[in-house]
Amino acid sequence: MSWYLIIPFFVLIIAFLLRMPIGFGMLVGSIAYYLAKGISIGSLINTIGYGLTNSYILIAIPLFIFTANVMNSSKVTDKIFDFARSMIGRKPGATGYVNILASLIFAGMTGSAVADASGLGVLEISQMKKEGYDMPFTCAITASTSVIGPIFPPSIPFVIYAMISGASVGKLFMGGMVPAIILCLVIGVYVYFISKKRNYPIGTKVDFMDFLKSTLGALPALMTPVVLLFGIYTGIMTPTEAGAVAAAYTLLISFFVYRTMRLKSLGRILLNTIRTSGTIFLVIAGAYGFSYIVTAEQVSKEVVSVMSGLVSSPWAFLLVVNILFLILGSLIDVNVSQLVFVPIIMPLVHFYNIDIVHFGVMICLNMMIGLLTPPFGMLLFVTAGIGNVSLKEMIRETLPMIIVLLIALAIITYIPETVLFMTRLVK
Amino acid sequence: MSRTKKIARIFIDFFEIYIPVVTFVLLFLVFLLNVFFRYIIKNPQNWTFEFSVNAFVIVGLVGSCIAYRNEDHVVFDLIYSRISIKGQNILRIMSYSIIVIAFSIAIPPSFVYLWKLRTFVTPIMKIPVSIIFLSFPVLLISSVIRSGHRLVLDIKSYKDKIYIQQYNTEKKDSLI
Repeated sequence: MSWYLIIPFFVLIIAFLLRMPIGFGMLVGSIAYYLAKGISIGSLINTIGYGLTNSYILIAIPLFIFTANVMNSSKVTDKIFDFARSMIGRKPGATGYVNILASLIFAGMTGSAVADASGLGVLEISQMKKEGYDMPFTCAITASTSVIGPIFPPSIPFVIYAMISGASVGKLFMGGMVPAIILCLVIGVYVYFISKKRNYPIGTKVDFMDFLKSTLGALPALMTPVVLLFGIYTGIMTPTEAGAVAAAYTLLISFFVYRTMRLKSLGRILLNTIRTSGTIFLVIAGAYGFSYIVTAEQVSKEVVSVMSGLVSSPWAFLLVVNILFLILGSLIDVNVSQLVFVPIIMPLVHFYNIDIVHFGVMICLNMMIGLLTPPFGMLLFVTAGIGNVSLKEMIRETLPMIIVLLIALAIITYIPETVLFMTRLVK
Repeated sequence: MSRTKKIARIFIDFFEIYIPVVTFVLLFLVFLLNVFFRYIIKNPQNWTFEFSVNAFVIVGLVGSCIAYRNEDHVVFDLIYSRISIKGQNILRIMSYSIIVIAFSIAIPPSFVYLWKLRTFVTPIMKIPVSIIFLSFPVLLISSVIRSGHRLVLDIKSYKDKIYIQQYNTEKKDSLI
C-alpha cells in the first residue's frame, strides 16, 4: 500500500464537502490517482467499459427500475392496496397492517425501497390520513415498511452485492424471503402495541364477496412475483431475463388488463428509467475506477491483516461491520457504501468463514435501515415530502421503528439459518 | 428560442435522451427475443447476449448525462444545506471547476485510447469496441460542457451578488 492511496479518498472527501455528485467525485479521484502514478488515464475506459460489459447481472437493475415505474404509473398499486385491505379486515390499526402487507406484496415486484415509498406510499399515506391516523406516524410507518422492498426478492441492492461478491443472485433472492417476513412481523408487533395505545381506527369489515372481488382485481398484479420467481427458480430464466419478462408482463397487464397505461406515459416512464439508472451507474462506473485502485494498492490485504489482529471472532466482526455500515448508511447513499466499502471488507468475510449470502442479506438490510436514519435518510425525505410532515416530528416517530428494525437485524445477523434455510432449496 | 439554441437542444437531446432511451428499448426487446428463441423456438441466439452487455454500457454511461442534466445524481449535501447562499455559491463554483479541469484532462487520453481500440470488434456482431466505449468520452464531454455552463452562471451570480442557483430551479418529481 503506497501513499498514493490517499489521493482518491482525499478527493472523494472534497467531493462530499462540495456537494459534487459522488460518482463524479470517484471518477475525479481515480483521474487524480492515475495522473499521480503516471498511469494512462485512457485505461480508465478499459476498467469501466470492460467492468460493465462483464457484469451481465447488473442489466437487471434498469429492468427492475422500469418495472417499478410501470407499476407506479399504471396505478397497479391501487389493486394491491385493496387486496391487502381485504386480507386484514377489522382490527385496531388495520391500515397500519395493510401498509406492511401491501409493501411486502409490492416488494415482490420492484426491489426498490424508494419505489415503494414514492409509489405505494402515496396511496398508503393518503388513506391513513383519511382514516385519522396522525401524520408523523403514518409517514414513519410507510418509510419503515419500504425497507422490506429490497429485502424481499427481487432486489436491486442484492444484484449489486452479487456483482461485488460473486454470490448467486438466486440464492440472495431466496435468502431475503425469511428476513423480509421477520421485518413484517416485528413492525406488525410494533403497530399492534401503538394502535392499542393510541386507539387507532378499526378497519372496515370485509365480507367474502368483497374479498373475492379485490383478490380477482389484484390477481394479475399478484402474478408478477410469481412469474419472476418461478422463472428464476425453475432455471427457465436468469435473474436478468426474469427482470425483462416481469417488465413485459407488467406492461401487458397495465395496457390490456387494467387499461391504466397510455402510450403517452410510456415515454416519461422510459426517460425516468434512464435517469434513475444513470444515477446508479455513474456510482458504479466510479466504483470500478476505485476498485482498480483498491486492488492495485492491495488495500484488502492490509485490512485483513489489521482487522484479524483486532477482532478475534466472526461474531465480533459482524457486530463491528453492522455498526460501521449503520453509520455509513446514515451518512452516504446505499450504492456508494456498497460499492466502495463492501469490496474492501469482502476478504474478511472469507477470512472469518462467513457465508457470503448471509452476509449479503445482512449488509443490505443494514443499509436499508440507513435509509431511515438522518441525515441521509432518503426514505424519510420521500415520505415526509408526500405527507407534508416536518422531518423533526417524523424522525421522532421513526426512532422506535428503527429500534424494532435493529432487533430484526440482530436476529438475522446472529441466526444465519434465517437466511440460509431458504437458500438450501436452490441448487 | 433562437435557431442556434434550438439546434443545440436537438443535438444535446439526441445524445442525452434519445440514444440511451432507444438503446434501452432495444435492450429490453432483445432480452425478450432471447427468452423466446431459447424456450419457444429452442434455438438459442448468441448475439443477444453480446448485444445486451454492450447496449447496457451505453444505457449506463450515456444515461448518466441526462441524470446530471436534471441534477438527479447522488450528492452529500449535509454541509451544503447548512451554509449561507453565498457559501453554497462558492461551493458550486469550486465543484464545477474541479469537474471541468479533471474531466478536460481525461478527454484527450480517452480518445487516444479509443484510437488504439479501433481495430477491436465484438466476437459475434462485429461491433467496433471503440463505438461502445465512446460512451465514456461522451459522458466526460457532456459533463464538462454542462459544468462549464453552470460554472459561468454561478460566477455571474457571485459577481451580481445574487448567489442563488440559476438553473434547474423547478420542483422535481420523484423518479420512481
